[in-house]
Amino acid sequence: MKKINEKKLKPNTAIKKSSSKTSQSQTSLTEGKASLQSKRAANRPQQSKTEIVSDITSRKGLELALQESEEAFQALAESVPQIVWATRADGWNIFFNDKWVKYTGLTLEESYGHGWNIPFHPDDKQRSWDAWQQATKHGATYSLEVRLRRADGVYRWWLVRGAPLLDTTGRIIKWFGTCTDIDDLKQAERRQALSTEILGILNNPLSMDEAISKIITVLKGETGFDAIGIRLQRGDDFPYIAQDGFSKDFILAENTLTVHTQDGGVCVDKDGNVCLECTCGMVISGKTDPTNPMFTPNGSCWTNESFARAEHPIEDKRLHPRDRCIHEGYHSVALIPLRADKRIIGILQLNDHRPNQFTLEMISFLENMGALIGIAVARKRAEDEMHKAKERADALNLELETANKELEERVATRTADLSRTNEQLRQEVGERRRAEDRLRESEMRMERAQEIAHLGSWELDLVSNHLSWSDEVYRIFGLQPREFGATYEAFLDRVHPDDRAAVDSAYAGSLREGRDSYEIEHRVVRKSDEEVRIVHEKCEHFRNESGAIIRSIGMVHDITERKQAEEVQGRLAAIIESAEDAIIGEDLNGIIQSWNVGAENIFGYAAEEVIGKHVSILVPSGRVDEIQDILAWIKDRERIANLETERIRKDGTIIPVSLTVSAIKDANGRIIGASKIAHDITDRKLAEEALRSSEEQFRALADSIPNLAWWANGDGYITWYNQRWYEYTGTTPEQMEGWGWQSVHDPEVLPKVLERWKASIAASEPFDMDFPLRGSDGIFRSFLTRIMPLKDSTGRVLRWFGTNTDISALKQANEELEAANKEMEAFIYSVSHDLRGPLRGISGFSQMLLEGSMDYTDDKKKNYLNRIYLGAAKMGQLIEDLLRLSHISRQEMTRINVDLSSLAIDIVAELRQCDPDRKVEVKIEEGIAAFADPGLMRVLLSNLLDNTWKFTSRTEDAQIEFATVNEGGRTVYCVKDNGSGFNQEYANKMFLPFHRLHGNEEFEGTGIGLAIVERIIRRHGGRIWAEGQENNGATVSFMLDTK
Amino acid sequence: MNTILIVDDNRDDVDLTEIAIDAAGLEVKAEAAFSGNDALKYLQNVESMPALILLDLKMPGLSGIETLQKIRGDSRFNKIPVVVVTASLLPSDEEDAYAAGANGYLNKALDLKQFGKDIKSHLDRWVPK
Repeated sequence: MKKINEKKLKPNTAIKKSSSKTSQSQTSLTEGKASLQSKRAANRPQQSKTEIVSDITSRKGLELALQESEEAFQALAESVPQIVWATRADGWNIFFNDKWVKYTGLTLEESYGHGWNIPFHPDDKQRSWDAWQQATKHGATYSLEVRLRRADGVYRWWLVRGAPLLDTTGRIIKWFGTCTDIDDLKQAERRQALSTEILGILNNPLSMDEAISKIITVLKGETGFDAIGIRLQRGDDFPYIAQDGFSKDFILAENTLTVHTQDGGVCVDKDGNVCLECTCGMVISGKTDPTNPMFTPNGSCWTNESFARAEHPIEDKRLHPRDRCIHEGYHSVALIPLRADKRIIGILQLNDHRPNQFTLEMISFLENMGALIGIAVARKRAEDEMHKAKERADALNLELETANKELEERVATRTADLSRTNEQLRQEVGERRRAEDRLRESEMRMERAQEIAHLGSWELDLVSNHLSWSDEVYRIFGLQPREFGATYEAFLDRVHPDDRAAVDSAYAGSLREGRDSYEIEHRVVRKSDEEVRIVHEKCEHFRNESGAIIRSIGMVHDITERKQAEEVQGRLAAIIESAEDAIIGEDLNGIIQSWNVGAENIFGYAAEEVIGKHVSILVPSGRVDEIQDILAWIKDRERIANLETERIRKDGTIIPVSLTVSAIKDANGRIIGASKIAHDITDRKLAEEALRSSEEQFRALADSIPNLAWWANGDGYITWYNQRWYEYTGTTPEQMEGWGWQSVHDPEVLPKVLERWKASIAASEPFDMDFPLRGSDGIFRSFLTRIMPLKDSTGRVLRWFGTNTDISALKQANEELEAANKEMEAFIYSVSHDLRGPLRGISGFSQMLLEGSMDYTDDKKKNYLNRIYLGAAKMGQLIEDLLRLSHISRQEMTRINVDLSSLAIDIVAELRQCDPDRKVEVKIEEGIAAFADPGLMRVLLSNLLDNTWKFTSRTEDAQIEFATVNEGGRTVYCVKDNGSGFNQEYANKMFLPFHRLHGNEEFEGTGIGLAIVERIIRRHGGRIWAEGQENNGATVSFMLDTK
Repeated sequence: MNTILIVDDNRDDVDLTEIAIDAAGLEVKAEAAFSGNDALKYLQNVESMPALILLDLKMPGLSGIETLQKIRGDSRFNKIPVVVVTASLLPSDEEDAYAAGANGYLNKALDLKQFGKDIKSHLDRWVPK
């Protein structure tokens, strides 16, 4: 391509040169003509061509030449390797050669006019259009580098040039132009630039990873591929060192290439090389197949259509690609090995979702880049190694130098010491033994003293690097004295881990800064029991003549106890300061020595106002004597607790306080003063007062209610009963206190009461129960007992408050009501039964008469009618009696003294009047009286006497008697007869309504009479009973007001 | 001929029961006792035991239940079927009657025809043909 360009462009260049002084447009014209003529002149020497050109420009043969050349132009245009085009003066395209059609795939029809613009790259369209407009407007030559779309969609760079053809007047007749493919040139230029840039990066003193990242950015920017990554060797694997464009999942899945065995080890082939998976692994391992077009001779792998690969399974499973590139839709994939000294140290990977992104040429370029990167990486690595090595060497040198210096110094010191020592030795040899003895003694004393004071000493000879500890140091560290030779490490080992750095740097720092001494407080952990102790260390350095430190002497003081004491004291001081109570220190003369914030708050004096003053300023005038009393007491007994008294504030108000006074002693136990804690009890006093008043109110209330009431402590211990309790039970407070109440309980019920009450106490829940309590009269009455807990804010029961309400009357009323209801029901059934009796007769006999045979005799008819009549009469009687009974129950009662004897006499007289033929002996006791309702008494007596009159009707010598008997001071009234009597077995039924002991055949009756009698007695609160014997008389007796 | 003993203190009821028995058209003879004691006396003295006893509950002296207990307590007549016939509407009466050994329980209907039907069904059941 290049060659062709050279050949074809050379003549043009020549022409340009020859006419370099003409205008631009003229040059273009000549150029165009040259092209036109070139076919014809192809075999001629270049010189002749120039002549022809000048020949043609001569005006004479112009018209003819133009006409002639039309055909020649066509033939020529088709023969050149470039695209040739022509337009009208206005830019309307009228000609393209075949190259255009073949390259763009457009038809001529599509291309004519402005259709030429179609294959231009979208980014170039506007630019080329503007340039073309500009050119046609000014008639200037048109030259532009643009991308043109090939029929297969690929864009390539072209140089488009155009020049106007002018007539003699300078008017544009036509435009002629060419398009020359400069894509390879362009790409070569770009790759050159890219190489330069990458080389620049690699030569930059960046770290390797930074350089790699940068290279990827540059490559991506230049090539426009979707994803680019570089893998480099790290241990056995080749992870991505840098990448741009791959998804997280992709990197996660693909980052490792090594094949792992089941036990997690790395899989190695027979040559000892690590097995690597995937196509990446194949490229890195160099296991490429040169016969496969996918692989280049340089060991790269590339494809423009990865999907086609997936259809051909690879036999060797270990080498089978994981196909992730395919899964993620990368059609174009290139893997370029990065080499250093022929060894592959990684790969450059380029992926694109579009197919056909690579050319062999590009791969070759990338391989060059790969080689470049490989070498640079290897170099960078080597540099890094070298740098590290140099650092190590420098450090070693420094160390060596220091060691040398030290050695020299030590030798010098040692020599000096030695000579001095020798001299001294000679002098001291005589004294030595004595001195040694003294020393030993002194050392022993020293050791003892150290032990007592928990003070150890140590000495470090910096020249000999010999460290010695006194025995106490060992002990402080929880070691056996002389357990092992002292070392600085052993010392540091005992220092609390958190303090180690500080201790180490204190010592090292003092040496470094050349200080004479240093002090530090730190913790040590005793080895024997792991106890943490606090020590104070003080060290002094000693120098030789030249001022160098040669020895350090130090002491270790176990100050744990002191520290603890300080801490305790600090805490105590804090407590005192934060206390709400006043805490005041006085000496034995009553002079105030200390005064806390609590005291300020309570008394209103600031500390400086009172310290040094006599305590009497706090005491109300009436209580001044107390001061001496308290001091005297303290001297004897050392302590006064909770003395309730009064003090006076700065503002003159008197406040109630609770004083606690303790003696203050010196170290010898001598009393030197007193500490007073004054607690302001104003609130408590007020609360107590409020409580007392509230309790008084409560007691007054509790005494005024009709219920029995009491309260108990939280544990159920009863401390108070109201007056009603004592009145009812007839007990005393002494008997009742605590759990004494059990004595008024029914022993049978008590266990249940105790069980429930204790359960309530345990659960702090209210108590509710009915149980009997014995009254002072010895009678148990039912009480409803309710006990409520009074709780504080935490739910603790402070008190139990209980009431006992007498419900015996209520209970009795309930029982009576129930009995009455039952009786009522029985009564209604009886009434219905007895009423149905006569009714059935009436109904039955009426039916007989109405529906029966017509031939009943008159007697029979009369009999039936008679029975109907009697039935009706019976019913009438029954209804009347029922009304009487009901009346008895409802009638209002007025009780007065009633003369029952006269009442009985009247009734008997009436009976005699009704039945004058009967001879009955009636005895009525004189003066029988009762406090009762006179009307009801009449009903009562007439019923009883009626009965005696009736049941003696078949008795000869009938006798009736009304008398009284005195039974235990109470009157029993008796109505006796000697009539038919009754079976005692049925005596209890006699008083029930409708109950009769005799059939109607014997004695008539409705069975209501005695029921009425019984009800009257009941209304008078009495009782009634009957005694009798069949055919031998009966006695009905009653009493009033037994209940 | 089979005998039927009617025990009832109410004369009207005795007559009406006899009328009902007649109407039932059985070949039986009706006897009446006006109290529990009378009934027991009758049973102790009669030669051939009645085929059925119709017993009222509420009677002066020995009540129907007491009478039934005595009948059931005596081996001479404890096999005789007893149908309690009463005007009582107290529900507990029926329970008491069966508890005391009654074989049937019949409420005395006000309507004579109904009463006749009730009597007949009991006779049909207890009196052998």
